[in-house]
Amino acid sequence: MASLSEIELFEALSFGPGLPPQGSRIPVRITVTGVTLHPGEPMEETLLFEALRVTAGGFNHDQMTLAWTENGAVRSLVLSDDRAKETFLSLAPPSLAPQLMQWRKQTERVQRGMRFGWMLLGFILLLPLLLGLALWWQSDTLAAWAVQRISLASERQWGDLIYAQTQTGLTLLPKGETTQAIEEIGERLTKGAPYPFHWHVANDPTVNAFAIPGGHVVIFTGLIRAADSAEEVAGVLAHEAEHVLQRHSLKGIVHQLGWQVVLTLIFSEWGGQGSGQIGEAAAQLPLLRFGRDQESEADREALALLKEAKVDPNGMITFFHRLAKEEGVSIPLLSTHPPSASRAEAIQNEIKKLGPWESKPLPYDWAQIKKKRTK
Amino acid sequence: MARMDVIDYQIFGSEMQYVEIELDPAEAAVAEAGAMMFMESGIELETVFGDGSQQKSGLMGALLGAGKRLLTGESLFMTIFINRGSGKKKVAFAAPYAGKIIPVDLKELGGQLICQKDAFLCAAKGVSVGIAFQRKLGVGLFGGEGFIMEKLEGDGLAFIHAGGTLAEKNLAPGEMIRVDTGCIVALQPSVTYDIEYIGKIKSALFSGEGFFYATLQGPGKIWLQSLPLSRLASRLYSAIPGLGRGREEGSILGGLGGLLEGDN
Repeated sequence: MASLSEIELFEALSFGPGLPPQGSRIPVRITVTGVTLHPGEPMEETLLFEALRVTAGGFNHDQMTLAWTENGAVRSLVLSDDRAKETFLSLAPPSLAPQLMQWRKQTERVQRGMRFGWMLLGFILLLPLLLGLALWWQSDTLAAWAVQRISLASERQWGDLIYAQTQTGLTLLPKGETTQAIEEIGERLTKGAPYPFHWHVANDPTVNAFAIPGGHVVIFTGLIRAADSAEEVAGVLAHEAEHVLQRHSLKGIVHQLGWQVVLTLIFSEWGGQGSGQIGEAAAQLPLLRFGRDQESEADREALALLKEAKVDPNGMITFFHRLAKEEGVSIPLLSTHPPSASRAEAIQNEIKKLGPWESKPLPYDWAQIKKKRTK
Repeated sequence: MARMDVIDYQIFGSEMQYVEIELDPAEAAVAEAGAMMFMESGIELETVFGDGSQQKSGLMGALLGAGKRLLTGESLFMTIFINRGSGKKKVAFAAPYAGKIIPVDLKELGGQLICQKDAFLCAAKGVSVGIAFQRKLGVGLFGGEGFIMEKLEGDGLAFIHAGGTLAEKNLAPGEMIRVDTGCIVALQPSVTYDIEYIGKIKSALFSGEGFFYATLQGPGKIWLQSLPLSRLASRLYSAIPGLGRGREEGSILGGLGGLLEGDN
């Protein structure tokens, strides 16, 4: 009973004496007895399986070479057709099994090696892409991690640089009652902080204040005018100081300027060109906008500062409330903050959590200070 | 099987050769971009994307073919020279550097030939120029040709080119020859191509032959070149005053540095 594969004709290359050196293409048929060359033609001959030596070879190491000896000369037949190889494997008798096992092993080893090799090569080629994706995917986490690696000293020096750049665009108030009050309140709030805080007052009608990494805090005269008491200003100052202490500004700048900054800050020699360029780049940035989480965090931590400095925290609440009520005025300080109602509520809760503390009123006549600033 | 054009040819010159192909009306030859030397009036050239063998395989097929050609470092396009005139017309293609042009009848070779990158010069229309990936990592890294070689398929005549003098060898079944890795030009797919470590560290370091041989085992035909272009180039380079010694061909660095390039 002949199966379909038994009567299938394949093409093979035949080598041996009397044949062209490049081999000749001949039709073969594989049956249960062996391999028949030129089936149906006058020169038909059948090779018994037992007489064949099977080896793997060819450029791709996946061909099946069948060799036999005839009149003292070696002849061979090369099967490269996959179907032909499968047919041979399925019909060969058990006596050939060890050779066929060997053939399988050899071809599979090459295939495995190739797969491994290409996978390795693909991996090497894809690595930068994967790294890029990972960086993009986890950029916030990585930025936070990288920011942790920046030393306080670097941050301070860098902050000085940015402040020096920023200052050129500000009109600073000369030393006087106002600057003294702001400095004193600020210092009282940040006693024992790891940063040497510097408090600056800029002549600008905007109700705003901002912090630069490393401890420079700038408060605008507009904000001083909008406040009704020193406690209200203290709330803002504590809030800004926390942006510095929690390294929000640093993270924000790193985020906006990218990785170049981090690498420069971690590896660069200070005073090198890199840092100068980064300082300039940072100064060119619009004032940083913090995320809501960061704002809430700054609020929470600011209350701890107020408690430490024995300052009444209600100033903070009343001030934000009043600012939120002023309609039609764009107040940068509020633009990125959580809605003031929920914010005030969060502050109230936090105050409850901290427990009441005894506050000492700040010794400034705020009305007097405001009057000076309304010229 | 694509329709093959049967072409008459004549090779001129001894060390710097060119091949002149005579085309009957409507016959065509395909060549690497830039190989043409002269053509008689009546022959027109068309530039095709890919190798021109699968004219009707659609856009994706053409793109895939062209992409493969990029891998072998060939131009994305090939040029087809068609005789649009009446009567026989000649077109000639020149070898790019000193060496020999070999006519290869693919029909005789069983329809396939594997050759080094850049070896293909021109062929009868219908021969396809593809790539043959080396599946053995070791051969790809140290075998001299890199991972990628050219594969010519079809039943027509093709012309390949190699540096220096050519040796055509017929390997009997099981017969093995050791070859300097840069010297392989072409081989039949039935030939087993492998590498062998030179064996002794002293020889590897001081024989100047590099760390590996290529071993070629029959049955089948192989073609070897006496002067790989890279060898000529490195000798020229090291002889140029002021540049110092160039990279020694066959050094371990050459093997590693040319991961996908090979040393040919």
